[in-house]
Amino acid sequence: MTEQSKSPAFTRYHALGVLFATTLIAAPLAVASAAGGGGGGGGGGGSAPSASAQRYDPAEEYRSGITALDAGNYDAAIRHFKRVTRVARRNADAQYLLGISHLRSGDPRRARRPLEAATRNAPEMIIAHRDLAITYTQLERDDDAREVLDQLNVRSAACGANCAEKSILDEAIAAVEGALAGNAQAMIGVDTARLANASSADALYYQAVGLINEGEYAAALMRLDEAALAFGPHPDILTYQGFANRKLSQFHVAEAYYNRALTIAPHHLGALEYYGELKVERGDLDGARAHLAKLEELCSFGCYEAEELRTWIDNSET
Amino acid sequence: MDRQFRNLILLCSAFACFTASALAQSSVDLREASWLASDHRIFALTHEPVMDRERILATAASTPFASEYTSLEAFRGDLELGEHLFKTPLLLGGQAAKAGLSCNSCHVNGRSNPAFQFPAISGEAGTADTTHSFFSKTLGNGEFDPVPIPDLTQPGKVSHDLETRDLEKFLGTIVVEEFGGEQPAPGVIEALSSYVRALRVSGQSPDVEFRRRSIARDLADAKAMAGHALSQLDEEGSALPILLLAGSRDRLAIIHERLIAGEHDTHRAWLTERSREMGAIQAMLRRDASPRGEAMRVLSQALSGWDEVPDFEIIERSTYYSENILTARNEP
Repeated sequence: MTEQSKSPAFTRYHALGVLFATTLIAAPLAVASAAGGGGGGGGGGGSAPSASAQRYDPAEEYRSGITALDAGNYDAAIRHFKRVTRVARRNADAQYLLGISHLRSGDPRRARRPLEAATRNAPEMIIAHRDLAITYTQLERDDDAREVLDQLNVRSAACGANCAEKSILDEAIAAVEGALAGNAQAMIGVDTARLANASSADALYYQAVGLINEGEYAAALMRLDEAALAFGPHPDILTYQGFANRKLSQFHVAEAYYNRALTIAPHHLGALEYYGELKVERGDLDGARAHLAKLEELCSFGCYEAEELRTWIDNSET
Repeated sequence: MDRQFRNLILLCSAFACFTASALAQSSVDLREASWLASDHRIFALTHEPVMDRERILATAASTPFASEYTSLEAFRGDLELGEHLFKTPLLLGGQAAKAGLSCNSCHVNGRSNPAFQFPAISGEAGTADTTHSFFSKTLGNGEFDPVPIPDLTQPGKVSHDLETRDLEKFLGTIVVEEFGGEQPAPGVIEALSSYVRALRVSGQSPDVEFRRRSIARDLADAKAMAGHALSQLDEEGSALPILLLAGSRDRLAIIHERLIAGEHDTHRAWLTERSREMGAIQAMLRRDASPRGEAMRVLSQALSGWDEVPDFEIIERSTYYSENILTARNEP
């Protein structure tokens, strides 16, 4: 992974921390809205706001958006992604898909702002840059499109011949050049059928874990980004984004991902284990032991995550 | 007054309908369900192939590999140890252990598992890609090539020859390379090999006969694993007893998740307490490998607590061991 793509990854998912902190506050309203307004009773089906906040699931709203987008139901897709972006103002995946929904509904004018937001919040998201540039050409703003193209070319040059993103960058550059040349068939959007299909979206995740097992961390991060596009904010994906970044020695980035995962799912065993291992690597054994104590408390019947973290701590002590 | 009463009845009926509907729709979160094909799932969660341990022992005892043991009891002990390890997810390590998969998940009671369908790893139900890098750090071949899961009681491709010890090498490769487990403690591969050899010579029909799964059998397994850990405390090293205690706790977890919170809380608490006791003994063994006497005393005492087991048989029909309950919950 190039230096260029390191910090954007952090920037991108720093947004998710804001996203979920905001979600907890905004959830009762969101639930009421999703249910058609509701009446009294707290807007959470009669339960307390704290309970309904836990039930509100932006990932589910996100998946509904993808299903609607794939079915060609663009109005519904726009509605779903807007709901996600309303409580998650900096979630680049939702912003990107909101832009794509507008584009597919034949409205590039409305697509521009969410696509710009996606590229701002996730500078490393190549497909968002590509589709923003193509949108500019549709709006007859070729100078803006060329500016994006220049950025992609700079990134491609920095990436080198063998970097993990090379083929995606080349495809994006060709698509933007095609659009600038008046090619109406320029590539745009994503394979929503693949994203909407739970099995193929799962496969992205399993491929990513496989790549991690093979030590191909940069390639794994690309798959995980795709999986994040399919699932939205998901603690399993965030945890492995943290893990892969940790293996690339990007400890601050990794820590941010682990924190995002634990904000969504405070009892996530994998995030607790891997964050604990990160603390061991940093020499923070007390912090790691606190994670182990938490895992032991959660795993009444034992769990591999606790065993692994214990081994890390024991090995560092000896 | 009549009108108020009628409204109250309507309200109560509506609430009852809502509650029943909510119950019917609530999904059952069983770990095993995540790797079982949806159309076989309920049957696979509630049934298992019949296994006759005494018959397996008796048949295997007359074969050459039994003569490697000094006594029938020693042979029996190793077969039991092998079976316990076969059912212990922690032996495999890595993603398998995290998912709760043991050898037994694919080869239920030594047979195959026609319902096995792990996401992205299986093709058709009953298959698995054993060279997928999701599980393996070293055997990934970059291709999706699932193969049918073999029935270990039938002739297979791996030689069981006692001279070459191909089986031992194969099992070592599976644990360490296919699943990324730790290098097994001394005695582990030997016991696993004895169990797998005994399965193949057991003379079972390729046609599998099934029986209902029961709390009693899972509980007996858990207790036997803990008992075996106790007997292993006489030996050198603490890795094997710790592993067996992990296996025992995992069997208790299987029972625990099939009991319904709010309905079987006493039984759930009993299981949790037993598991915590064994966790404390594991911690004791990890702290210092030497206090054998103390660990044996505590484990013996803990096991005596199992004699005061609550009556699981009474509640079994209202747990997720029941096909009817699982079916009523619709989608496990």
